[in-house]
Formats: sequence, structure tokens, C-alpha cells
Amino acid sequence: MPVRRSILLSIVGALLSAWILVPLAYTMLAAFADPEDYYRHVIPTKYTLENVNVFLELGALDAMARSVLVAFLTIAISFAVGVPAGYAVGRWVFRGKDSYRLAVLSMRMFPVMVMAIPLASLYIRLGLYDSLLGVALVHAALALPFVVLITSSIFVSIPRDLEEAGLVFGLSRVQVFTKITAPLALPGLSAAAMFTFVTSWNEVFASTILTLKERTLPALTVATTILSTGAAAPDPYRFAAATLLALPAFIVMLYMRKYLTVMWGGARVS
Amino acid sequence: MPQKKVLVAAVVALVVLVALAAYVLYRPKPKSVTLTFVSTQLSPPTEQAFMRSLLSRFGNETGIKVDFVPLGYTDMVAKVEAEVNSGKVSTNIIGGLSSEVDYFASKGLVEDLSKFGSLPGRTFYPALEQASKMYGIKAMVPWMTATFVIVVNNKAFDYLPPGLTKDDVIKGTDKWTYDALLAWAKNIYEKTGKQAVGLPAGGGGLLHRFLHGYLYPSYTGYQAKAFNSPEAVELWKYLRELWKYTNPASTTYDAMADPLLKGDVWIAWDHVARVKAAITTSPDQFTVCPVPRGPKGRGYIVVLAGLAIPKGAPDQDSAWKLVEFLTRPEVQAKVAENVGFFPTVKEASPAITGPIKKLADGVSAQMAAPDSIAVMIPPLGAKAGSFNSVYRDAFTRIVLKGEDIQAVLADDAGKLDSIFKELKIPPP
Repeated sequence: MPVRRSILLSIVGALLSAWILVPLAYTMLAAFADPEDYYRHVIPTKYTLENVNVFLELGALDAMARSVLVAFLTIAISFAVGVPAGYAVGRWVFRGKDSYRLAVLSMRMFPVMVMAIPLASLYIRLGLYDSLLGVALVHAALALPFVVLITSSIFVSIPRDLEEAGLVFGLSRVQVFTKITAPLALPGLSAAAMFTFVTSWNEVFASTILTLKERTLPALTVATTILSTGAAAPDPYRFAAATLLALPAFIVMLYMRKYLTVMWGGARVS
Repeated sequence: MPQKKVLVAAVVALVVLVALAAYVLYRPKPKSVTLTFVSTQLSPPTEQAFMRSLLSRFGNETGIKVDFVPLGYTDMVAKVEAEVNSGKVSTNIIGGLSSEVDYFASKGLVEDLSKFGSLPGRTFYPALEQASKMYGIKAMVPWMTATFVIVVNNKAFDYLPPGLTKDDVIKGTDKWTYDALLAWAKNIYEKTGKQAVGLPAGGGGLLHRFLHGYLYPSYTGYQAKAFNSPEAVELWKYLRELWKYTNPASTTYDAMADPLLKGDVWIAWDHVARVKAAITTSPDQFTVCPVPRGPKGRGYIVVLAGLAIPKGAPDQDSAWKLVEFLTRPEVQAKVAENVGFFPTVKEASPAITGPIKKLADGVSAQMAAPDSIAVMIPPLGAKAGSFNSVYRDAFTRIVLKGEDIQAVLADDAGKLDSIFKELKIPPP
């Protein structure tokens, strides 16, 4: 029985892996496919750098650097505001706590599209238009509800006794946080950071509306291949755009994986 | 007093240093202009790359740098409207469809270009010149034109129905009708089992243009005026029939180049820019043909893109130099050869060469057909989306869901009427 069960599990595991890996692998193969060959064979047999090169010529590397900068700025801003809020919601009991949690989520109710013109006007007046900080502020606003909710559940899972012990031994409140709570919360915070990174990395609308020259990678690639008359872009270019977008996020996730595993495997999340 | 001398020397040195620094920081620098050119056109990657190289040629010639920024229409409206309203305009030049520029003109968001005078050495086609005047001003300069064509995989010619020849299709004779297209598609289906017709009915596809700009004028003589008429009922009955031989994956197609290249469809209708990749990738495999004719004639859309300058934009003289550059006959011929958009000036057409000549010939055959009914996309501004939805909704309900034609047309005619009433313009 156990042998049969393990075989079954292996098959399910292989199928699940294939479900995720096959499209990814095909996307990357097709990104480098010679256009003429791509339409003749299911698996491309001739390869070229041309499809990716076009995006590099259009400034994809600069855009990638901007995307990384915006993502880290987003993490910094949303953590500066979201982690104290998450700590308060996770640690303390106060009146209207549940309504507050709901209100935080309600931020996501409004489509950014509706705010496009007023937001752009405001940015122009404030001098934030076409700046990376401006895009990061919108991304932080989008990521903030999740940062608050994720970090609050992380802080709930850290035993209060440890903090109280710290206070008994003479640590200040700030020291308790930096020396006891923060290190224990690190895996969870990393997961929240990764989530914020991916939210910012994938966001296309704000960076298209609020920038002209300082465009992020999705604004450059997605807007070019899918939106507007970009729908005319042939498949190999779309695959090239997808590869350029997916690779960096993929690398970040591989690096963050160990922290995520620790959080899922080792910490209680209520 | 050596100390005093040292002090004086130090003061003098400091003054010289400050003066030097001030000179370095504030010395007169040659004024360099960088233009921001936002465009809803030429956004696909290869088209963008071509525009960049073209604009760098302009930069070498004039010393004016141009940043080409492709945008979706909604994004462009948001940007230009926000910039002009806040009085801080950073966009120097707009490239958009005439119907898009019309919206900006209706809101007073673009300059009257007649103040720059005429552009010598080029003759704009009169109809295009006329279309560039809006709300009492010259709102844009005609930049590029485009249209929609039928692209046929040469294999399909082996299954032509009796009475229709390859020549009829290529030259667009009287025999090349929508009924002949149906008979052809049916013949292919019966002999090969293939649903060979392809229409761009996906979310980002331009099926609505096929409906209001091709079938409606061909069957009713108008784009919208006879939306709910006995002729329109015939049109929808026809489309239901044609759909039986249309590749069902059409509802996912945004552009027809890929399905043509993959061999999924053999006869496709789409915008020239959206089938161009098929012609340039496998020129020997495909033939570009004019669209068929209907009972009232051969309806087709002339797409016009124009160049406009936002109200209050800086460096307008430099922007005008760019307009001059982009409308030069040799530059227009280059644009046609590389991106498949056709010239707006007469002098450019003979200069076109390369695989795109095939496309240009197909378009010429369409325009030259004596029964042609040329229409322009109506200038509906912000209502353009609602207008398109009316046709797409009718398609979904009648063709895909099989609802009663008369009932759907009666429903949607009301929506169409209210759009034109609101805009206070007669339905075309």
C-alpha cells in the first residue's frame, strides 16, 4: 500500500510540476524561436536572439533597472507604513479592529483606471509625474493592504511571552521589537516583501499612466505587445516579452524560497 | 605684514575659485531640444524599433532628439487631458487616429496648426486634408493611412467555387462578392473539413470595424444609419451562415497574422498592420486581395492617422520640424515599406518597394474598384468605445448566441441613436 501511495503521489507531483513548468519552458523556448520556424514546428528547431534583441533595443535593460528600483522603493514605503500598522493590528485588541482590517482591504475596491486623470493631474502639480518615486507611491498604496494583513498574522504567531520576558530583563519597547520580535518575524516579513515585490513588478497601469520616459519593464513590454495596437505583435515577440518579465521575478523568488519555506513550515499563522 | 598678504591671496583665490565654479555651472550651454512624441500607432516592438531609427535620423539632421512613447488610447487621453488642464505640458507631439484627434479637438486640447503655414513639396490627398480640419481648426496633419484587406493562403485557391476565378478575387471583380466568399468557405469545408475563414473577434481584435465599416456599407450603404433595416437583417443572416465555416477560435484572435502563419485559417480579414507579419515572414505563401462586395457596393474603411500638437506644448517649432520630416515623400515611402502604413502624400506612392508592395497593390485594387464605398471611422471621441460595443454586442447575441435578429437590432439601434443624439452629429 505505501509503495502504491508513494507512486501515486509521485505521479501527482510530476503532473503538478509539468502544469507549471511546461508553459514556462515553452515560453522561454519560443522567445528565442526563429519566427518562420516557429509557425512550422510545435517545438522550434531554429533559434535567434532577434526577438529579445528588439526589446533590448527599445530599452528593456534600463526599464528592468527601473522596475527593480521601483520594487525596492515600494517595499521600503509599504513596510515603513504597513509593518507598524500590522504590528498594532496583530498585537493589540482595540475597538473597531475588525472594521479596520476590512477598511484596509477596501483600498483595493477602486480600480486604478477610474483615478487615472485626477491622479495624473495631481502628480503633475506635485512634480511627481514621470518619476520612479511617483510610481512607487502608487504601487505601495496597492500593496499596503496585503502588507498590513500579512504582517499582522505574522506578529500574532510570535509568542507574547518572549516580548514580556525581554521587558522584564530591562529592554525598552523598541529593543524588544528589534532584538526579539523582528528576528522571529523575519521569514514572514520576507514573504510579505516578496509579495510586494511581485505586486510592484507586475503592475502595468500606473507606470503607463504616470510616466512617459521613466517606464518600468511591464509598461514597456506589456503595453507594447498586448495593449493598444500592440495586439498586432506576433507570438515570438510576446513570448520574448513574457520571458524578459518572468526571468527576474523568477530569480527573486528562487532566492526568497528558503524564507517562505521557513514561514510555512515553522511558524504558526492564525 | 606677511599674514595680511596671505589673507589677501586666500581671498583672491577663493573669489577666483567661486567665479570658476559659477562659470562651469552656469556657462551658456548649447540649447538642446528633446521632443516627447506620444502615439497610439506603431506600438508593436518592430514598428517601435523602426520609428526609433527613423527619429534618430531626424535627430542627426536637426539636432532635435525625439522620445517616441507608444500608448493605448485611454492612456493617451488621460495623459494629454491631465497635462493641458494642469498647464504643464510635457507632450510635444501626438500621433493618433483622426477619430482620436477629433476628441482632443472637441475639447480644445490641441493647437490650430494653420499658424505654421503649409508644407511645400508634398501634395496631401484632398479627402485626407479635409478630414484633418475639425471644429474650425486644422487639428492635425495627415500622417499615415491604413485599411483592412483579405489575406488568402494560396492553398485556398485550389478550392474556389464554380464561377469564381483567382483573378476575380485578386482584382476584385463583380464576381468577388460576400456570397462568393461564403460559397468558397463552404467548398473548402466540404472538401477538407476545415473552417478556413478567420475573423479577429478576440477581445483586442477589430471585428467591430468589419461590421460597421465593411458589412454594413456593403449591405445597407451606410455604417450606422440603416442599422435596423431589412438589408441589415439580410446582412446578419449572411454572417450567421459564414460563421459556420469560420474557425471557432476566431473569438480568441486579436490579430490574424499568427493564425494565418500557423495555417489555422486560410482566408482572413484584418487591418494591414495586423496581417503584415504574415506577408513579410512568408511572402510566397499568401496573396493580399481586396474585400468582397455586397448588394450596395464594396464598403471599406480608410484609416487615417494624424500628427497634432497639444495646446500650450513647449518647443512647437521643433515639433513642426518633426511634422515636416514625417510627411516627406521619401520618409513616407520608408514607413510604408517597414511598417505597412501607407502615405498621405501623392509623391510617396511610386517610391514604395519590397514585400510590402504586394500589400500596397492589394490596397490599391480595393481603392480603385469602381463600386467602392470608402468610409472613415466616425469621430466619436469618448463615445467610440460605446459605438464599437453596439456592433460587438449584436454579433455576440445574433451570431454566437443565436438570438432573434430583429429583436437584437431593435434593441441596439436605440443605443446607437442615443450615441449620435448625445454627440449631436448625424449617423453616418
